[in-house]
Amino acid sequence: MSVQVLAGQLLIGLINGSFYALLSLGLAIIFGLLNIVNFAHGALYMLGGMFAWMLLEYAGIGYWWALILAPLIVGALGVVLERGLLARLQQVDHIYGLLLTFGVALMLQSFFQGIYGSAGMTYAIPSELRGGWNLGFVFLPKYRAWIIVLSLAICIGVWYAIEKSRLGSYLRATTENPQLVESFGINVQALIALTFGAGAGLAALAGVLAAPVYSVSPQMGVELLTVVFAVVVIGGMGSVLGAILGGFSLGIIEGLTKVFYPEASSVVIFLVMILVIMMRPAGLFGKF
Amino acid sequence: MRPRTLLAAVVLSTALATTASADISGNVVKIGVLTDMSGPFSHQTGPGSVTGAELAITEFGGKIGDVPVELVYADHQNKPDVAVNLARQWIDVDGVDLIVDLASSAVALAVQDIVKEKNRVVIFSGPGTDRLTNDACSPNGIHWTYDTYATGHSMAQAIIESGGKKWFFIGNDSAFGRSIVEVMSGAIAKASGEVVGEVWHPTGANDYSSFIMQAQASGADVLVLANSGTDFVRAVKQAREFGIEGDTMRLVGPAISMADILALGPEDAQGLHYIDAFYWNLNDKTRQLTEDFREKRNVVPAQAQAGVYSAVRSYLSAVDELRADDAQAVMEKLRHTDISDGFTPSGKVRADGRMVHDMYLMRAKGPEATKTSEWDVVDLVATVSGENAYRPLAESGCALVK
Amino acid sequence: MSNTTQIGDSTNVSTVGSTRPETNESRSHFVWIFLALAALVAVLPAFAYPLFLMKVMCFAIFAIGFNLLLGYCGLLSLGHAAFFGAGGYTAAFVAVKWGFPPELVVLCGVIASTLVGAAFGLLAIRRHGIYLTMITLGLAQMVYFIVFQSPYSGAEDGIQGVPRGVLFGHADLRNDMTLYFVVSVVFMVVLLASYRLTYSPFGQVLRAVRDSESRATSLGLNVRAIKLTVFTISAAVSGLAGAMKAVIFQIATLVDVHLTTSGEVLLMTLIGGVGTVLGPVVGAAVLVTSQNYLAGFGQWVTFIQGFIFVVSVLAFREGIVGLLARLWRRPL
Repeated sequence: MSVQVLAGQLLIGLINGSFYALLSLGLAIIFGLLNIVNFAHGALYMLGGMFAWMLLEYAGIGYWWALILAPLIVGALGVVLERGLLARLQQVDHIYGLLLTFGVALMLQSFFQGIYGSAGMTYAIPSELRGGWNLGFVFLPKYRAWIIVLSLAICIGVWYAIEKSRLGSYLRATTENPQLVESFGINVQALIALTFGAGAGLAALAGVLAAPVYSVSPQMGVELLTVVFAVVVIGGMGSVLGAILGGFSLGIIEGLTKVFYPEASSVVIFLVMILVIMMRPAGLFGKF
Repeated sequence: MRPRTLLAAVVLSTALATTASADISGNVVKIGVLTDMSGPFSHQTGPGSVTGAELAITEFGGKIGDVPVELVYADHQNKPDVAVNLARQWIDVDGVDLIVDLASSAVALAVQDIVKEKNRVVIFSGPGTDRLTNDACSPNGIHWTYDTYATGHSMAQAIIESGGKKWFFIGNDSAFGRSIVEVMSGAIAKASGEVVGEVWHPTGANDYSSFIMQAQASGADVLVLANSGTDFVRAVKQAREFGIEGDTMRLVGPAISMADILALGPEDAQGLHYIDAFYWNLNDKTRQLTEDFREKRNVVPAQAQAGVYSAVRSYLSAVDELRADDAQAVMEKLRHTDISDGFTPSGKVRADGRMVHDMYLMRAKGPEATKTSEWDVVDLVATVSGENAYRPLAESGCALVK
Repeated sequence: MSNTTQIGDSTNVSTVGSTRPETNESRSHFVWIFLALAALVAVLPAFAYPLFLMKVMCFAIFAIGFNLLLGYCGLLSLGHAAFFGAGGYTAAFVAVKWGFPPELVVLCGVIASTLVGAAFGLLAIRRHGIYLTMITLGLAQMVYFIVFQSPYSGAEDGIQGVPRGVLFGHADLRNDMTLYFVVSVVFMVVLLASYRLTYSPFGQVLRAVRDSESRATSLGLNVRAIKLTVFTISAAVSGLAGAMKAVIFQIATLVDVHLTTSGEVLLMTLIGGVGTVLGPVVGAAVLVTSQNYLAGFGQWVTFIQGFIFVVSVLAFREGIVGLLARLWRRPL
C-alpha cells in the first residue's frame, strides 16, 4: 500500500468525517442542554435531504437555496417537536424523551417510505461544483472539497458561538442550573426550544450536503444514527469539541478500515466506543 | 365458529370437494403472490408482480372450466420468518395451490423447503440465487426468470469478448453478491483474464469513494459493481464523480435491472452494460405485455414482474389441460411445455426446475440518443441463448438430475 | 427528574413503571388471573392458527425477560436482540448440524444466550444511564456483525430447515398441536416464575437497586452482583424465547439479531406496561397481532407502531396493564 494511496484514503475519510462531525455536533448540543438523547436525529437528517429534493422537484428551487431553506424548515419543525411533545416530558424520567424521539423517527421514516418507496431519489450535484482536480495521488471532486470546507466552517462557527458568545454562555449556564438562569430573566423555555431547533437544523444541513453524493432515501438516516451516537459517546455526551473531533476522527478510522477490512467498516466504531467507555467513563472530552 | 358447526362445515366442504367437477382442491385455484411490497426490491417485484399475476388470470377469464381462480398477495418484508409463516398459513389454512415470485433469495430458499414438505407448487421469479436449481433444488419448485449464474456468466462472456482484461470487483457483501462474483471470476479465469482486486461492502453503504479509489489504483480496465438498487445507483454516481467514464474503465452491473438505469438518468447511466431476462421492445408480444402493464400500473414491467405473468399463465395453462391441480402432475406437465408468451419467445423447464430461455445483453443509452418514449433508455446489444446462459445440467449439483 | 439530573448519576430509571409491587399487597387475584389465562391458552387453538399463537407466546417470553431488566431493575438495554438471536442461532445450529433432540436444542440456546448476557452485563454494568444503554447497543451491533460474517450462520439465508424433533423421545413436535401444548406449558411456567420472582426477596432487592443504588449499597447489597445476575437471567429468558422460536418456525435469521428486534421488544413492554407481571404478555399479544393483521399495509405498519410509541410515551406510560392495575387498584 503506497503512501500515495493511503493519503488518498485518509482524505476520503476526512470528507466522510465531515458528516459525522456535523451530525454529532447537533446531537451533542441537544444532549448537552436538554439531556435528551435525540433518536430522531437521523430522521431529521433525512428530512433535510428530502426537503432539498422536494424543493427541487416541486418548486424548482435549487441546491443553494435549499442549503438555507431546508435547515430552516426542519429547524422550525424541531422547535414544534420540542414545544409540542418533548416539553411535556420535562418532569419525567429522561428515558421517555429518548423513547419519544425514537417513535417520532419511526413515524417520519415510514411515512416517507410509504409515499416514496425505499429505492431513493437522485439529486444532482450543482453545476458549479461538478468536476474535480487531479492532485496526483487522488482525484478530488470539487463537491467533496466543498463538503469539507463548509463542515469545518460550520463546526468552528458553532463551537465559537457556544464557547465565546453571550448566547453561548446562556446556553452553557442553562445546562448547569436552569432555575438560576431563569431567575436572571432569561426565557429558558425559549432557549431550549431554539436550541433543539438549531440542532435539528444542523442535522438537516448535513442531509442537504449529503443529497448529491449519497442520494436521498427515507432510510438514509437509520444506519447513520447508531454510528453518530457512538461518536457522541466517544467524544463525550455534552461536549461540542468532543463531537467535532470525534466525528472527523471516526471518518478517518472508518476510511482506514475500508482499506484493510472493508466489511467491518460499519462496526469498527462500536468497538472504539466500547473501548473508550471502558477507559474513560464520560468519553474523551465529556463532563461527568 | 363453534366446534360442531366447524365440524359440519368441514364434512360438507370435503363432500363438495370430492364431488367437484374436477380434481381441483377446494374447488378453487388459489394463487398467492408472496413478495416485497415496500422494501428494497419492491420496484423490481412487489405490486408489479401482483399486476403480472392479475394479467395472467384475466387471460383465462378468471376461471378454469367453472372453477374460479383466486389471487391473494402478501408482503414478506424480506424477512424469512415472516415469509415462512405466511407460506404455512396460506397452505394450511387458506388452501393456496401456487406460491409465486418470492423476491429475495433468503426468503426463496426457506419457502422452497416448506412447499416441498407440503407438496404444493412454487415458482420463483424475483430471487436470483442459483442454489434454487442447484443444491437446493426441489421437485415442487421452478426458477423462472433469471439467476446469478446466468447473469454473471453471460455478463463475463460478453465483456471478455469485447476485450476486457483486468477486472476489479466492488461487491455487496451478501450471498447474492458473492455468488455473482464467484461465477464471473470463474468465467474470467477460463478466458485467461485477470482479477486485479475485489472489495466487499455492507448493504446500504453510503460511500464508495474509498473502493473506487482502490479500483483506480489497481489499473483495472473493467470495474464490476456486483450490487443493485440504491447501492448500485450511489456507486455509479460516485464513480462518475471521481472521473470514471468512457472506455478507460468500463462500468459493468451484472445484478441490475432497467429500473436502476432509469433511476440513474441517462447522463450517469451512459454506456452501462447489464443483463436482462426481459426486453420490452423485443417483439409484438412483449410490447403488448408492456402496454397492458402500463395501462394497469403506469410502469414498464421489470423482468421479475413479466416473469410472474409468464409463470402464472403457464401454470394455469397446465391446470387447464389437466383439469387438476395436483402438484406433481402440474410440475410434470410444465416440464413438457414449450413456453412462448409476452415474457419470452421460447422457454423450457428443465428437470432441475430451471426455466431456460434467452437472456439479453443491454446497454444504457446516452442523453443524446433518440428515444421513442421515456422508458426507451436501453439498447439490445446481443442475445445470449438459454443453453449458453444457464448452468449446464452436467455441472448441476441438483439431486434430481444426478 | 428536572433538567439538572445528570446522566450518569446513580438513579437509573426510577420512575419507569407506575406499579410498584409490594409484598404486603393483596395478591389473591393473581391465582384467578393465571387460571383464566391457562384456560384461554387451552381453548384458543380452536379459534386461531396455532402457529400464530405460539409466536405470541415466544415473544411474550422474550418481553418477560426484557421487563426483568427494565421494569424491575431500571436498566434500559437496546441490545436484547443479541440474546434472542444467540439463543435462536445456537438452537438452530445444533439441531441442524448435530441432530440434537429438542430439549437439548433449547438448552443449548439458553446456555449460549446466558453466556452472551453475562459478557454484555460485565461490560455494561460498569457504567450507568445512557452509557449503559449505549454499551448494550454497541455490543449488539458487534454481535450482529459477527453473526453475519460467521460461516455457520448462513448470512442472509439464515439457518433453515431446523428439524423440530421428538421431545424426550416421545412427543413428535412436527405435530403442531403437540408443539403447541409444549410451548404453552413453557410459557405458563416462565410467567409464573416471573411472578414469583417479582414478589420474592430478590425482587425487592432489584427494586431497591432501581430506586437508589447508593442507598442499596449502604444497606450492604452487592449492587454489581445483583445487576449482573439480573442481566444474565434476562438474557437467559430471552434466549429461551429465541431458541423456541427457532424450533417452532424451523428457521433462524439475521432479523433475530437486528436492532429492530431490540426495538420491538421495548415497544411491547412499553405498551403492555413496564414493571408489571402481565404487561409483557399483553404487549406481545398486541404487537404480534397487529403486525399480523396489518401486514397488508407494508410501511404503514411501522408508522402506526411509531405513532403508538409516541402516544404511549406521552399519555400512556403505564401501559395497558398499568392502566388496568391503577383502575382496579391491584397490582397486575
